[in-house]
Amino acid sequence: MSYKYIVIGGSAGSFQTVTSILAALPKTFNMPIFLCLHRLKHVRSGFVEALSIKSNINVVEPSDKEVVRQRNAYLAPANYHMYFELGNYISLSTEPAVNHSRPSIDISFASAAYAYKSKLIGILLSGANGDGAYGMKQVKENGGLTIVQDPEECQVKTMTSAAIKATQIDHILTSDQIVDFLVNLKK
Amino acid sequence: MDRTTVGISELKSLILNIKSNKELDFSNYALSSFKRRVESFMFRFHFLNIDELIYKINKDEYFYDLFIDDILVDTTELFRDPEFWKELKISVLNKFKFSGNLKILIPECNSGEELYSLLIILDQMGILDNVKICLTSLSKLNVEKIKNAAIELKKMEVNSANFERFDENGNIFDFFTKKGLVVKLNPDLFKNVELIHHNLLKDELDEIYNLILYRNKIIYYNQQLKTDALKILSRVIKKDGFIAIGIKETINFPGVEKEFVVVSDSEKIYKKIVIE
Repeated sequence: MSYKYIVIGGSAGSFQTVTSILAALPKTFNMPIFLCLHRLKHVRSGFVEALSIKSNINVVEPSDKEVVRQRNAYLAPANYHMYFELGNYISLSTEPAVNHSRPSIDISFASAAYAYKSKLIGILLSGANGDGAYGMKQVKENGGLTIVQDPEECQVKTMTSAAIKATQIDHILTSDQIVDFLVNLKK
Repeated sequence: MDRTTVGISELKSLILNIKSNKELDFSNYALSSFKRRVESFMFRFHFLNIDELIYKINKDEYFYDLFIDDILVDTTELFRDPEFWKELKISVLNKFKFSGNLKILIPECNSGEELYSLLIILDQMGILDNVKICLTSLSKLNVEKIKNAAIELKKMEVNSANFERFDENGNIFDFFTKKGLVVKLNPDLFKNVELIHHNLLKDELDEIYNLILYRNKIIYYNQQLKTDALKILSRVIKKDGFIAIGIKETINFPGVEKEFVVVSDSEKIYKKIVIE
């Protein structure tokens, strides 16, 4: 298996799934995880802390130009877009919202797809708008693996349905299956 | 939505061309977001490849200005990070109450939100006459746009919510006049403002400043250019003067601890301590 990076996007109804993923992954899980989750733009603190409670992996909000390291989960900061540079570091941006969202999942996914190509796994979870569909298409077209949470299981299925419509998705899985898939990746 | 995609080698040929023909150097910009903005611009103006874009930029001066205006990133909100503005008022602007002839620089602006936010606070504090503000922009069109000080009405919801987090009793519309679908900042606030078309990385700055507002600018640069820009600005801050950068940015060049002390770690306000 040659995957080395994971990018996860989600909006309404995705928090539970993200926390179960972070809780299930062992401390030794050494792929960096990028989390692009829609969040209140004016609430700067609290989200990292909430995600950290059950996580075995270190969850951080990156500073601009922060180098990507293994065993870290990087949460896109409130009111910034999160990009990935070819030198394996993160750039932030205050460009206008995309799909009414900043951070935008399309921006993070498309940027990660370009930087990490076939080493990337893109996972899209429950959400209430079409952000992420274009990004998932980019992940697929750049040779990465695409996983979408089963829309039937999503609290809000707009986001996952849009991605399934836009791209041939590799795996449509329930949140338990997504957790199993990631835990077994390195075995 | 499908978009135009541009490879790194195409992007480099665009950058090289602008550098040699227009004397503007994008080589050390953060490539990821620069790439996306070039792609969006090409998509919007129906360019199929980078050579067409390069040809048009070289042939049509106005179109080149339009491209530069589009490629540089606007600040999209007044009072972005209300906690920052509160801290700036307490730790910096309050000290400006009792002296005149203070100079403030807002470099590399592509829109006026930082300037307008500052002017509103200074007006509230009654110290507009104590300061002279210089704003610079790389784009000619932006200088005009910023001077015009018009904001679309639909953007005022976010601006107003931010302002209320800064000043819970305040009403941002007190500082604007509604004209159709836009609001315009009260022109009296502009009396001590100078707007110039200027390239921070190339052109000299003649003054030294008591405060430099430089938030969310170096995020569009790579590490090298980020350091260069901060060093240039460090040279034009007065001793005991201040600089503010974005809350997710860092000043981390070697020797920085001999030049700055932290005023606010969370809001990224620094004070200059050494005279060169």
